[in-house]
Amino acid sequence: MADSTIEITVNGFGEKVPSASTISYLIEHLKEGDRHLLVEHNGKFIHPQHWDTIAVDTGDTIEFIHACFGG
Amino acid sequence: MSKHDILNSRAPRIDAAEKVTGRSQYLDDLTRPNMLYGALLQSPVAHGKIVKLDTTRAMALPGVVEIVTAKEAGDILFGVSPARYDETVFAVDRVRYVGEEIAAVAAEDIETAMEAVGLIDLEIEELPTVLDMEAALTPGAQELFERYSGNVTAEVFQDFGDVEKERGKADKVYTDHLLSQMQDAAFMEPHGCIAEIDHRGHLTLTTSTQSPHYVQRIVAMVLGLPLSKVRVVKPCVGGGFGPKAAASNLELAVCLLAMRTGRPVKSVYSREQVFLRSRARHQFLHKMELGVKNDGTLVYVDHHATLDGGAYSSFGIATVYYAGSLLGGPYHLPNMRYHGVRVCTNKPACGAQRGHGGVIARALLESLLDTAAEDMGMDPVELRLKNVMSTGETTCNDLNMSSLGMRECLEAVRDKSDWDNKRKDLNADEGEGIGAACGFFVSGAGYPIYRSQTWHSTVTVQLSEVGGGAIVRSAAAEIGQGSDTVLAMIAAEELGILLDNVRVQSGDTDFSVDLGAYSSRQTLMMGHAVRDAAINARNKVAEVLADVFGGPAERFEFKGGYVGVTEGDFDFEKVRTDFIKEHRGFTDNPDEGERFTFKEASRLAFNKTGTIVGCGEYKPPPLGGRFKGAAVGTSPAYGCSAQISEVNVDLETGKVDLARVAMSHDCGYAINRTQVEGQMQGNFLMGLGEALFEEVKFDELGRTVNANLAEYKIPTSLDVPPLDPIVIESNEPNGPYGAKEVGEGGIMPAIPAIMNAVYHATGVRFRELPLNPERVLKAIQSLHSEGGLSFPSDAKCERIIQLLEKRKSDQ
Amino acid sequence: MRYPLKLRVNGRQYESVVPAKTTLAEFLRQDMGLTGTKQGCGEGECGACTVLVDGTPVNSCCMLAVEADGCEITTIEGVSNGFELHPIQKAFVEVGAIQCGYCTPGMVLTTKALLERNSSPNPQEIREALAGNLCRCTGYQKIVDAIEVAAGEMESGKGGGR
Repeated sequence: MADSTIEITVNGFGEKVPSASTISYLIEHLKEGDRHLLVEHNGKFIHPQHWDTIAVDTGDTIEFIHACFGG
Repeated sequence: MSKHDILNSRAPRIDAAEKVTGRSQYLDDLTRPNMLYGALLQSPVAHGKIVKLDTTRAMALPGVVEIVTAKEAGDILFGVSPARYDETVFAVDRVRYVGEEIAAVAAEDIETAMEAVGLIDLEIEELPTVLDMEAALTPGAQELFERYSGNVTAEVFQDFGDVEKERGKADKVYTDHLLSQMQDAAFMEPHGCIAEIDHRGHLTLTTSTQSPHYVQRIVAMVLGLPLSKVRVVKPCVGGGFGPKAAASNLELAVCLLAMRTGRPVKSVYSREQVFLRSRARHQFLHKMELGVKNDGTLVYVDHHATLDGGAYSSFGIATVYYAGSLLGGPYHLPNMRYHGVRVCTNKPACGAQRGHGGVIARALLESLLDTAAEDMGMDPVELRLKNVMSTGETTCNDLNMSSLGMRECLEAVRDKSDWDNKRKDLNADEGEGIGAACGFFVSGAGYPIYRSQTWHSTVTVQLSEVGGGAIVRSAAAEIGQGSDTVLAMIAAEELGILLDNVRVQSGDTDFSVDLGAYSSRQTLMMGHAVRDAAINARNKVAEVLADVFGGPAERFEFKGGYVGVTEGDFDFEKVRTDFIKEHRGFTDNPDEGERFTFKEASRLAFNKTGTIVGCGEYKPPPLGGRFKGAAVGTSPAYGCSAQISEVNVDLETGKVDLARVAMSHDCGYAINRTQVEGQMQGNFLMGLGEALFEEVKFDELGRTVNANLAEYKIPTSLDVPPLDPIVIESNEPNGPYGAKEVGEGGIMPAIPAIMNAVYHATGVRFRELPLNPERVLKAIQSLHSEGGLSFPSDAKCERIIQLLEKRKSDQ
Repeated sequence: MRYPLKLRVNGRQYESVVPAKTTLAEFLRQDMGLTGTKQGCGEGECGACTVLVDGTPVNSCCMLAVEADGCEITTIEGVSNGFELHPIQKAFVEVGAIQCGYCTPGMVLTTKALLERNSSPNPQEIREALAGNLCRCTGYQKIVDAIEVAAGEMESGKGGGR
């Protein structure tokens, strides 16, 4: 597994994750367990139906956003 | 009868007498010795590159002490959500709206500061402007930011239930769109602040904010100060309604000037600057398709929204989220699909305003419900009653209605308004109409703005060492809504003392962490914390009493300023005699009766254990979403409201008058009944203004043309009908004493109830807001014209919706 | 240009010299320290700066201080009798006519002028009198209610020989 680890940026910080991790895997792995979570991959909103299929690549950026922060 | 002594009463606000005598101090009432005055240079153009910024001439003006620009302030990004930090203190090379901050001057007096602003040499090379949603979304449009491709600052897709699969179950489908205008919160007190720094580098910022806590963090982050050396204090604040909930460029600029000059610096916005700062209500364009069964059961909502966010993100990512998710209740709606896009344009940035994100979406849905009811021959109130949710149910998007008096609210206004008769008897030929609507809103947010496990509210209740009073200390933000009074009432209730004996010190980051006054969170979250803190303090006293007098601590009962026992007896004679002897008879105890006073009890506890401080804290518990186990949901609780408005439309002039309104709100439990009513009435006023008058207007160069309270009309006493609110109490299990929000929910039904009444009166289903005389008259005329009902924005709305649909299909 | 100015404020005689462009609001707030007079717009639209000039409500942000030369000014600081609130103030407190409080001083002074010329106004007359004083918090209802209470109180106060 070690050789297939890639580095991505999650919410502004570097994170080592298995290569080809899907968004769903990252959510599970990084404990972002909220159905209202917004996910952005390289600045683009990712529809929840694509969470299982879209995988990250080296250098990608992921934003997990809990948009229900009031106001 | 209330089970409480103080809660649920009509206790006058604890700050009322100070306010009514003019003694309360708001920011602009404060000065500091040796204080400088700050003034801002703001962009005169909507979009451009700064090619020259030279402060030499301005600096040479006698009386000018310091001038700062992006060169001094740096380029650290800030904003509201860390995922959308996109602002700098001053424009770095580029300006994106008229009013954007470019430089700030500190001078010995305000006139000199303003004169110096005029002497700063500024040259801007103009860039093409993007001034509305269509311009922003059109392929190939000028982009405001490299990072926001296609000028989209936030996009949300949500799919709850299965709209595609269930669509076929609907017998009828209704579709419409609604375009609102950008609005201003128009609080009475313009923003202002004073920053001062001491010789040890401790900065104190006194500012008219809704959230000292967030301002503290942003100031420290942007200006590179340790958090421990930044104190933010909120004086009396003259209203906020959302736009004062985030740190501002003004606050940062004034702090920077204070840091560089070593002197206190004050700056206060003019009313025009309040409009230019904005951070108020977005412009929304919603399109909705509502599927309904023949019996009136709702099947699905398919929803698209475009938001014009102005130049920066502010709260926008939450706005676009709430614009979709707040349709989840209060009706049974098994399937809901949403696509929301927030674009940036070269206008002042929009943010959160009362009813954040949900107001116009609600207006359109409630309007569609009326369309459906009419088409199916159902009474609009009946249709709603058929679909309302009840306590304990969960919406398709996981919002748990842990209490929901929606049915009670709606039935109450139906009866109060004499709906059944009025609906039949009002005369549309004379412009009379009546309309109903419901709404609901969050009671606090599940998450703080930045990603953190932080407590959302902490507080201490300290008993005064002598005298038996209590001081409640926190960073909670009293901005006029009455939170200080609520906190004092809760503390007094739990300590069993009189309200007059509780002092509240709030709005100070030195006292505690509290996220502030937004998203209707203060009563629920700080209410929990202060209750726990007061109980904690009381228990400490009870334990000492148990030690001294024997028996379990629980047998001591605190009520009305006295301490009694529920069982057994206790002889406090010696304790009392000791107190009397210690100061030659001065007991500070007016009651020498037979009962043991709280004063004596707390004094005894102090003598035995030292200062008595009770602590309390609150953060929302995991709220049990259904996605992969327990998760934090949107809010711990939801308030709900119903309104029925009766209008008179002058068919000759198009002027809409509110004749009557019946309003109800479920606040769970009214900690202070007068204040609950006041919030309901104020919510209605803002909704009425937004429905009928309010619109920030721009010229073709992106300049705000009505940045004043004459041309930006808000309701006066003559525009508002008598308001007699009905308070519904459903006892919220997640709220302190059963309480939940009342600060924002009441605006939700206000706009659609008026729209539905105007429809009833005129037959015009409006697709544009506000319903000002010109718009109403033209719409009525078009209704009777050959082409039928049309609105000037119809074609543009259609194009925007197409652009959005294309975006969706490109996904 | 600076002009001499003599006026009575809350019953006390003052003499001063002010620049021509100083507004009455600025004079009261800055020169006299009477910060109970609020400024919400600086353009005479919101009414927060209302004071009484010879008994008449005036937007003090739109009146030059020199124009008040020789006048009798009442600000919010001059309404109560020490700690004893005026019946209007008492009613505002008890009825709950106050939220953020920024409009309150102006509202109280407008009310004072109203009740001096009409001791028992009906709700419509009250609303007409308040039309120049904007409030964004209360929806006006409790302000109207408070004024009715105050009027009743002041009337019965007279009758009762208080």
